[in-house]
Amino acid sequence: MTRSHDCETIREMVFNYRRGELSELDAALFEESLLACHDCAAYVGRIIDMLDVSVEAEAQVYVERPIDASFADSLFDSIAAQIEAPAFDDDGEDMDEEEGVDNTPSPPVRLEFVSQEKRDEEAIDDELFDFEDGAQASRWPRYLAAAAVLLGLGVGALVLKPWEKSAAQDDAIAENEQDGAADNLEAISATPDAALAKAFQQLQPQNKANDTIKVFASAGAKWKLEGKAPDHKLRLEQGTVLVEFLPKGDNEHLHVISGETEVAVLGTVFYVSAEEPGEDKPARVGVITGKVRVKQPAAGKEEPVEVMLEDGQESKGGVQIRAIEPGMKQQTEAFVDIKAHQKALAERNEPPKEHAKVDVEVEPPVKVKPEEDQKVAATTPVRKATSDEELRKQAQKALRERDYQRAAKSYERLLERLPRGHNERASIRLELARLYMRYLGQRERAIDHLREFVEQHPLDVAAPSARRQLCQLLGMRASKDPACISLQMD
Amino acid sequence: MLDPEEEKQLVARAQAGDMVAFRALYDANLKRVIAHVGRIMGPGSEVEDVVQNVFIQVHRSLPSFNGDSKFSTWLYRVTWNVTVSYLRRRAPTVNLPALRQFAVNDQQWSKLEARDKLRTLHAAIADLPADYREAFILFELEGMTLAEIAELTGDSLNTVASRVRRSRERLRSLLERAEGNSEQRTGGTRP
Repeated sequence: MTRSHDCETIREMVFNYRRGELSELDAALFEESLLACHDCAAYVGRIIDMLDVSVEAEAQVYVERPIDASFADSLFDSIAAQIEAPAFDDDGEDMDEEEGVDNTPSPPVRLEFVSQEKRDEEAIDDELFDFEDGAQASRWPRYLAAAAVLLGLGVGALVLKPWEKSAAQDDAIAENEQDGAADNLEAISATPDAALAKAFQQLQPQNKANDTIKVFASAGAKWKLEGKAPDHKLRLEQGTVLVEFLPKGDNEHLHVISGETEVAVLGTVFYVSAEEPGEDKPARVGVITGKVRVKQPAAGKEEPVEVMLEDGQESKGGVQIRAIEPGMKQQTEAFVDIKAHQKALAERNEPPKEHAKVDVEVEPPVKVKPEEDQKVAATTPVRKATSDEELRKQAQKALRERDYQRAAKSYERLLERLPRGHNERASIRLELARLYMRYLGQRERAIDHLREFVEQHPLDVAAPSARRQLCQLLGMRASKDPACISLQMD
Repeated sequence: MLDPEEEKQLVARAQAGDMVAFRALYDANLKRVIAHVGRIMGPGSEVEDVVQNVFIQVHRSLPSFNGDSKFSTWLYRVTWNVTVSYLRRRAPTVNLPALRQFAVNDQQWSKLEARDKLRTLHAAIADLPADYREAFILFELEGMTLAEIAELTGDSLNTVASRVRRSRERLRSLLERAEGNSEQRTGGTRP
């Protein structure tokens, strides 16, 4: 059985095939696929024929008279007569004063191309993209469940072994240690909720080597990712991290380990926090939406207690369950569009309808939701009601006002909303890459979006440029990156 | 084809009002301009009129050409601007007979003359915004890269890519719709 593309893929590839932009292997597979599908071959032939006819068409094809000396002379006579006549066009308007620029030749354009060597980070703005189409959304939520985990741990609360980092783990481990650890610890010691709130305010995007796990860490956080799909582990030594977990399949899991607290991420959005250092003060775990399974020491229990938490619930010490602080949910939304994640989760599980229904039905238990939290929930539908067009306008308005952070946030939300395969997702990815690289100084975010673009839109017209940009941004890492190994420079 | 030095001298003389030099530039570039205009408009009697307007505008604008770019590049921009301006002022039309040619079968398609195929292509992209059509023509027909088009038009690469992407989708959509109609008539199916 030979491999072959389906007809839809062939139709997507035909333009790149015609331009000779497929790899040798892809081109061979493309041609092989045509042999197995007469209709596809006819379609491809028609597209290529139509374009090639235009490319090969001589000037003669476009005019009805033979282009010979007589044609040239008569046409020039008409031109000369017009030149010598007053400058009025057919409508009696002075052409030179005509409104608009269309009749006014543009200033000469320099066709000087920047060498690859000169294309540094700033060049991404030239190479990549302004945003014309309106925007759209990130693909995380599309595939699935998104989980945001907040882990906050006091330094003294845990005794962890030094990180051991093997060469094989280089790509799987991200570690962040910042100088503000001591200061952060002092803050955490104040009041638990205030410390957690402050930790949230300090969160900054950190490691996002892939779309499955993204980490936002506070100053002083020390953490690392281990393992490979489908079994991921996040170990936290100190500080606070917010993690978005977006498994690509039901068998993909994330386990968060911090001291004696273990959190199994089953889906969607939650946080874990140990705001009070001390071995007898277990971590605090809260669920924004979805479910997590928590295993941790509990007062009066010899063995760790395992509990399941759902939306709006928080656990501290295994058996104590209460409502989460409303502020945590609100602040989480600065990083995670909860409704979009819920929607994405439902979409992911749509094929087996029953499964989707189970996940969609995960709603916050009203009985544990405090009054303030209900206010937050009440405002949520307003957010959800924001249309794609409104988000697009918000992003574009933010761009005009040079509020790039807000623009990126709006585009991210749009990206999350758009279904997989939506034709505007490619443009949004590139625009976000530009924003993160050029204006927000978030190189890794830019890399993430470029990588997603290259992986999700390999046949897109901008894929070669995006791949070049990605590999330039990767720098030394490019030599080991699959996306760059087969890079062919234009 | 003029060599660069000769072209430079002719441009300088034409800028000074030398009609002989202007005629030489005209002769050297006439077919290229016709092809450019034709690729934007499609074949038809109007092409000749637009080509005439292009050279009139070239003559008027020559004094502003300072040689920072190649003359051919500058000429292309003039050609594009004049052609698009003409199309914008002209009442929009949809060439239904040309569009219907999408639905012909393989044998019929192969027998269609080149001019009819060109008309079909241009009917398909006729209602695209001018900027989109330009990107498509430069990319798919002129064979330029996105970066080159971005340089030429002053747009970003993402913008150019978006325009090409939309134009491709438009072409695909029309062709697939025509296929669907054809299948409905014949009772055929597509795998």
